Amino acid sequence: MRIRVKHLKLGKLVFLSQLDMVNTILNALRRAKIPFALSEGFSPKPKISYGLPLPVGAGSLGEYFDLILEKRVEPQKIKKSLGKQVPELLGIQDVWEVSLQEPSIQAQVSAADYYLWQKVSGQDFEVYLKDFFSKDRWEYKDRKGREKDIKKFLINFDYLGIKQGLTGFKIKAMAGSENNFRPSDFFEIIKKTTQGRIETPGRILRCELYHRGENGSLTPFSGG
Amino acid sequence: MNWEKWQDLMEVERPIRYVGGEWNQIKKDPEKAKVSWALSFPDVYEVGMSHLGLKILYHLINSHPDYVAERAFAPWGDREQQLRKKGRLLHTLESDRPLKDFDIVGFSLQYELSYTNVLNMLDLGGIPIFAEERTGFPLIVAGGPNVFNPEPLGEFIDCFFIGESEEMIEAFSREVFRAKEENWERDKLLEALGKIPGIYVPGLYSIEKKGIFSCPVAGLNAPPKIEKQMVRNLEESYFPEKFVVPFTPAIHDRVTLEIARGCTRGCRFCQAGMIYRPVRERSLEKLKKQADKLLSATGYNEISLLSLSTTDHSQIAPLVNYFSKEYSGLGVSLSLPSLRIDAFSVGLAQEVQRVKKTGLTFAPEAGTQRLRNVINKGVSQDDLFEAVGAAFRSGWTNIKLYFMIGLPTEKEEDVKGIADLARQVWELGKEYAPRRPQITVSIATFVPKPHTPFQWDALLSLPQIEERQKMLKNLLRGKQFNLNWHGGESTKLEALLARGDRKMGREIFKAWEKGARFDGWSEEFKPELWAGLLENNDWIHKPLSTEEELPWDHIFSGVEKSFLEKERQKSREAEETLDCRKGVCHGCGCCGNLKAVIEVFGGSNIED
Repeated sequence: MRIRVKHLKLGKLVFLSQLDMVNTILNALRRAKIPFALSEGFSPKPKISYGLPLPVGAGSLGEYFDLILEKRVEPQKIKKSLGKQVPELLGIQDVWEVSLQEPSIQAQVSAADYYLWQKVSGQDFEVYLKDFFSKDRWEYKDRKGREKDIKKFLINFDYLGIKQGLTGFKIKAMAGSENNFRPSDFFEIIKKTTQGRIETPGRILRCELYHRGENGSLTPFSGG
Repeated sequence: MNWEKWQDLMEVERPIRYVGGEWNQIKKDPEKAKVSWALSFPDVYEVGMSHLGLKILYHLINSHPDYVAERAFAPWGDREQQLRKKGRLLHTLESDRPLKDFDIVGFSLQYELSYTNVLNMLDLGGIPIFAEERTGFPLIVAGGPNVFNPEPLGEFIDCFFIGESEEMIEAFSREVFRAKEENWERDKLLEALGKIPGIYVPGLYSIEKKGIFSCPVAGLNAPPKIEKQMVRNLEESYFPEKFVVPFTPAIHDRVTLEIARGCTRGCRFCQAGMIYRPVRERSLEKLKKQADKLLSATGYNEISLLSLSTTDHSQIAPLVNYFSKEYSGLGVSLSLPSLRIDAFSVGLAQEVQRVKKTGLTFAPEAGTQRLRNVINKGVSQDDLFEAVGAAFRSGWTNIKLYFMIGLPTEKEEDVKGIADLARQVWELGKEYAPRRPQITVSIATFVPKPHTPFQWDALLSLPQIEERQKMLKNLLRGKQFNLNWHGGESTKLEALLARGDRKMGREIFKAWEKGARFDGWSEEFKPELWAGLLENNDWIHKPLSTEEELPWDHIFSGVEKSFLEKERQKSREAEETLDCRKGVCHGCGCCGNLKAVIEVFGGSNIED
């Protein structure tokens, strides 16, 4: 049986690396005595897989992982027993069954919702931002030094203005192995475009992950 | 989490080290506790969280409704710079309170090269480094094996816990609470604490130059000798039912079962073998219960059986059998930290690692039979070949051998003997191992430690260390050998701190001021910061007279100094002393002096 689990990643636990998070979840699964399956071979490993990994420092309202179980267990029972064994800041939101035939989260994920914040450290940054927003292409160099246009990854974009010295953005963007919006690239563009009046690193809260539903429309993973 | 704190943590490497909040963390309000402890480990989080002593004390203190214990670890350089730049204080993980706000700050002293970190943590925690500059609380205390020579830290630490600290925590906390309630002066409190058995208050002793060393002399209200305290019934003694589970793996991240304390094999270089006497075991029945509770409380999938010499436990075969089978269906594996050199131990290792055969480690310590007799290692070449042969035949190909150079009476042939032995082990591997064997030879330099029969012996000089290392390098060429050793300078520093007197404190302070931190980490160790100390102190390269007064003579481990001297004499004749577990008492004095008994459940499994 394969289950999909949705959980939080908040507060101080935003500093968990992806590997630390998997370790922490596995310890919780063992404490909750969830009968997960192990791979064959010299060093048997649990068959657990996450979708889009978050960078260290980023929070999330919906992290998803798939897990293969050795035998059938009622998802609601897992939700309850696992819920008692994970730290509150990784709170279990939902557990449901997914078919073994379904592609992995990683293969399915095609968009994500983010709140992004950056600290403001200079005057008149909005002049630069307005000019920037009006451009057709938002160009940046990716990690390999290639010219890219981050604007073409955006699905929805809201500028939330400035509150308590922080600028906020609400973004729905493409995610996945092909066209992937990286918040850190976005932060760098904003910093550059405002000539350093807005700082990096920025803070990230990921709210939801989406896959393409049957009719091709973006459908949140939540709730199966 | 506010932006500022978040941003600070984003700036440092591995921020998860500094946030706490782990599963089974205990959060009480230190303001409301009668006595608050900040248990401080002078190394990074991942090292400190591996340490069993810290786990025991953390849960023991917190099991008391009126006491609270929180944890603090040495910040890595980037974090230290940040704390200093931003004017923030080092704080505990649980409540974020700075160390200076606790009643007691307790350090665990596991290795001498962590001493500058102790000073650094005090300074970062907002506490004056020198004891005489402090007023009121907190009290700075320390425990662990290094306190058997407390003198080098005598100017910084208010009270040392000599022996097994869990025996002294309650009496100490009670006295501190009384002092708080009744608003005692610091001096009055220190004097009262100095009367608790096992507590050494260096401030109550004056320092007099006696020969080479400056030695403490008890004042009017202080005991002339401080006797180590120990758990008398390990079976019934406190052991936590929960461990804090780090989010990021600690060096040893598993359920650690303490199957025994103490070792009476009597290796003459080994401090642990002298100061943790006598042997006390936990029974299989008790360990089963502890394992069940700890596995379900932590979710770990590995159990480790810990003691100074794991395979010497009288019930080791049933223990290994039980733990390797009982939980294997749940994916829980077993690990044995130290292997005795015999086929029996290899058999146990085979039971533990049925599938994956990684490396096996043995410690013959010396290259010739004569020298192994000198150190009382009690292992013959045949034992080693039998054990290694069994290992190769069972499928292991990587063998690691631990040796020491510079042991008392060592001659050139003994150093060559190391290479000969390693080569013979490799030859055996060629014959019996399933694949090309790989032999790792790890060479440490012998460091004379207090309270051992070799406490009067010399450390090799730096040129001698280099010369002998070079000799081995030449003798063990080839891809089949993997040779590693420690630098001579850090070894000399360890030796100086191990047998230093009260004056050594100033040297530690000077090095700390110049920036010495994490001296035990080879890539962090900067010998130039210790230059004056390392260049002088030639006494360390010569044997001491047994008449010499030693800075740690007032610390009593239960083992008589005359026994150590007798053992040293026997060593010069290459004469062995057998393990007293087998029934023959050699008169070390420990059981009589401490009114202790050997607690062994299944009779001795140690062969003659």
